[in-house]
Amino acid sequence: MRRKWMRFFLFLFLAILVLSVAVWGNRLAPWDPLETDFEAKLMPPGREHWMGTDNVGRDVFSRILCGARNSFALTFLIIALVSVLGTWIGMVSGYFGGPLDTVLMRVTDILLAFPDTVFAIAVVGMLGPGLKNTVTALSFVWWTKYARMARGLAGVIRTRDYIVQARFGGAGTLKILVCYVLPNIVPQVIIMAALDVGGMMLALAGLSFLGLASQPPAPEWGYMLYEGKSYMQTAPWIMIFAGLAIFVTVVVFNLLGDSLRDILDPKE
Amino acid sequence: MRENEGMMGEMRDRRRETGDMRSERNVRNKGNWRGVVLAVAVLLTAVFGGCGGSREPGGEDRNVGGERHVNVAFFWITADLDPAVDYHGWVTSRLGVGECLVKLNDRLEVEGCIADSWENVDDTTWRFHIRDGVVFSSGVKVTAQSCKDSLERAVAVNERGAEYLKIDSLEAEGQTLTVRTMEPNGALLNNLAEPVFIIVDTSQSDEVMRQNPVCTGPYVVASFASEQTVELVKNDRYWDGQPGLDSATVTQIVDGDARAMALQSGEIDITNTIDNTSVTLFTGNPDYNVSSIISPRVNVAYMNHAETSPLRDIQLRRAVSWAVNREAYAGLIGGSEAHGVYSDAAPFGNETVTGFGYDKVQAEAILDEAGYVDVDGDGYRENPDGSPLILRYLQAADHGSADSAILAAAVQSDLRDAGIHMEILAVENLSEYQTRGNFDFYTGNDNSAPTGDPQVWLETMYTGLGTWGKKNLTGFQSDRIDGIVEEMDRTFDMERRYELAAEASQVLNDDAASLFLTNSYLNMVSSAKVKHAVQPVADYYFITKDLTVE
Repeated sequence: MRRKWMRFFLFLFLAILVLSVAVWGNRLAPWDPLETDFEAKLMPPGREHWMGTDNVGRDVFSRILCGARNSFALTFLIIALVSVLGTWIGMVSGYFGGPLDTVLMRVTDILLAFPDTVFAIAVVGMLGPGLKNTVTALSFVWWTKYARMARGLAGVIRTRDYIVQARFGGAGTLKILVCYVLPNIVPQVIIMAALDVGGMMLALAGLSFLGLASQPPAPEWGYMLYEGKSYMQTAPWIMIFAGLAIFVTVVVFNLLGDSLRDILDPKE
Repeated sequence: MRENEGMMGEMRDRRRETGDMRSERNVRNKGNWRGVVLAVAVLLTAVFGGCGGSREPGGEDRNVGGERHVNVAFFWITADLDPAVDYHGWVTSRLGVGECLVKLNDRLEVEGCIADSWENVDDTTWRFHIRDGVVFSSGVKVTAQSCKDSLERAVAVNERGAEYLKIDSLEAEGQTLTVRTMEPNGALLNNLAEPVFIIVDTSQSDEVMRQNPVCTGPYVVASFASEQTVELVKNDRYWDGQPGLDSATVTQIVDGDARAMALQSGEIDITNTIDNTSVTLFTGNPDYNVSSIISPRVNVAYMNHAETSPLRDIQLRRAVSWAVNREAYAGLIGGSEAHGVYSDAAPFGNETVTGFGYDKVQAEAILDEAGYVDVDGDGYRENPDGSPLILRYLQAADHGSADSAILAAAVQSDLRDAGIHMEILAVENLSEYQTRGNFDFYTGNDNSAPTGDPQVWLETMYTGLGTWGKKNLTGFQSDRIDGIVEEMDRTFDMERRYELAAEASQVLNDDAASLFLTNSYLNMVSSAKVKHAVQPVADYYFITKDLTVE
C-alpha cells in the first residue's frame, strides 16, 4: 500500500513539474519563440541555443517550453469536454434504459467502429484544418468510451438498494442522478481521464504532424516534428527534442494515471 | 492509439461484466503499457528513421546483364498520359516519350525538334517544315497531316491549348504545315513548345492515348500504373540517334524528403526537386552528381486585389512589399532574390526593372502615413478605420517541398516586425479556398515563362483572359498590362517582346501587384553511375536521349 502511494507521489511530482513548465514556460524561455533570425538558421545545440535553432532561426528550446502550454491546454480542454459530455450521456442512457439506451448505444457503436485517429483525421479533413475544428473532431470521436463506461456503471447502480431507498425518500430523478449515481461514477471517470492524457496528447501531436491541428507559427510539439522532418539528416535536433518532449510527457502521464487507478479503484 | 482501442474493447466487455474487476484490471494495465511502448516506438522511429545510411540498392538493379537501366523518381505522375489533357503532357514530356514541333534550350530559345524549319509568312500565317525521317514509335511516318491532327486534337481537348495558339485553320501538304491564326499571335512559336502540343498519333484509341500514347520521343511506355509507376523502354525508331538507356522505371514519390532518402538508399538512381537543405547531403559527395540551376519559377505570394481584401489598398501592398527580406529568404530555401514577375533565368530584361528591396523603415513610414496604426496597443496595426487588420495567407506545398512553409513563416515574421498581423492557413488544396475569394495571399511556385515567352503568364495571371487551371484569381486589372498584352500579340520581334516584358514587369512592381519572393532553383540529383543528368531550365524536360549509365 505504501509503495503504491510512493509511486503515485513520484509521478504526481513529475507531472506537476511538466505542468509547471507548461504554465510558466513563456517566462522561462530564454528567447521569443516566434522571433526568427534568418542568419542563425539550423544552428546545432550550443551555449546560446541549448537545443539549436530551426529552419528560420527560431530557438528550439523556447519553442518547446512555450509549446507545452498549447499542448496541455488543448489536451485538458478536450478531455474535460469529452469526460463531462460522455459521462452524462452514458449515465442517462444507463439509468433510464429502454429505447433511449438502445438508440444512444447504437450511436456509440457506430462511432466506435472507426479507428479513432483515422476518424478524427477524416472529420478535420471535412471541417478544414484549425484548432477549433481539431477540438471538435477529437471530442466527437472520443466521448464514446466515457459514455460506455458511465452507462455500464449506471446500469448496475440503478438497481442498488440505496437508489430504491432514495426514491422512497422522495428524491427526484435529477437529484438521484446527481447525488447518488454520479458520485459512484466519478472515480472511474477520473482514472480514465488521467489515463487518457497521454493518448490525447499523442493524438493531437499526430494531427498537428499532419498539419491539421495547430497552424504556424504557434509552437506545438507535433507541428515541430513535422517541420523538423525535412531536416532529419541535416539538423536532427529539431525533431529529437520535440519528440523527447512528447515522449517524456506521455510516459509521465500514463504512469501517473496507472498509479492513480491503483489507489482509487474501489475494487482493489 | 493502440491503447485506446484496447480501452474500447475493454469498455465493450464492461457492458456485460458485473463483478470480476481483477481480471479486467490486468487488461487495462496491459493497455496502458502498450501505450508507453508505442510512444517509445514512435519516438525511435522519428529519431532513427532516416539514419539508414547506404544500404544495398532496394530497387531492381538490371544493369548486371549489360542492360542500361535506371530507376527514376518523379514528384508527379499523372492519372493518365494523354498529353492533351490538363497538364498531363508535362509528365509525358518529362518521361522522354512525347516531343513537340519545337523545343526550348537552356536560354529558353526555340530550337527545332519535329519541325526543322519554319517561317513567319505574315502576321497571321506560319509555315513549318516537318523533319523528314521522324516516325512515331509505331513506325508510322510523321507527316504534316499527322501534326495537324494532333494539334487540332490538343486545341479541341484543352482550353489552354486553344488560348495558346488562337488557331483559325491548319493546312497540311506533304511535309509542310501551314498555321493560320485568328489574330496576330506573336507567342505562337514559343507556345508550340508547351507539352500540351506533343505530337501524338491520333489514330490510336482513347485507351492507348491514356496508357501508352504513341509519340516520337526516345522512350516508349511499356507499362503504366496511374499515379504510381511508368516502365519505359527505348524507342528503336527514334529519329535523333540511339537513346542512352535500354529501359527505365519511373516511380512517383511525392514527398521531397522521401525522394532524397530513396536516393541515399539506392532505391532510385536519379530524381529532381530536392529541398535546399537536403541537397547539401549530396553536394561534394563523389557518389552523387548534383545539377542545380536558377529556374524560370518564381516563389510568389499572390495578393488579393478584390474588394473583400484589405490588400486592395496599394499603400498596404507597397508596405508589405518593402517589409519582406527576399535576400534572406533565398538564403533559407536556396535560389535568388526575385526582382519581379519573371525569374532572372528568363531573358526578359530583369536588369532594367526596379523592384522592392528590404526596407522596414520605408514600410513603416508608408503604413503610418496611410493611417495603419496600432490604436489598441496589441503590437499590431489596425485598419485606418480602426477595425482589426488580419491578413490571411493560404499556404500549400508545391512539388512535395517544404519551401512554401518556410517562406510563409518567414513572411509572417517579417510582417510582424512591421506591425502587420498575418495568419497562415496551411491547406492541402488551394483551389477550394481560392474560388471563395477567401484569402489575402496565396502561395505559388510558378513558372512565369512556361514557353520561354513572357506573354502567356501575363495574360493568364494579370488580365481577365485567364486560361484553364491557373488563372487570375486576385481581381488584378490594369489597362497598361492589357495594352502590353495586346501589343505583344502583334509583336513578332523577340527583342521587342522582351522589352515589353520588362515594361510589364515594371508596371506590376509599381502597382505592387504580387509579392514576388525568390527565383526558385531547380536541381537534379543522381548517383555517380548516371551520366548526362542535367537539370534543364524548362522543367517539362527530364529524361533525354543523352541520359545514360556507365
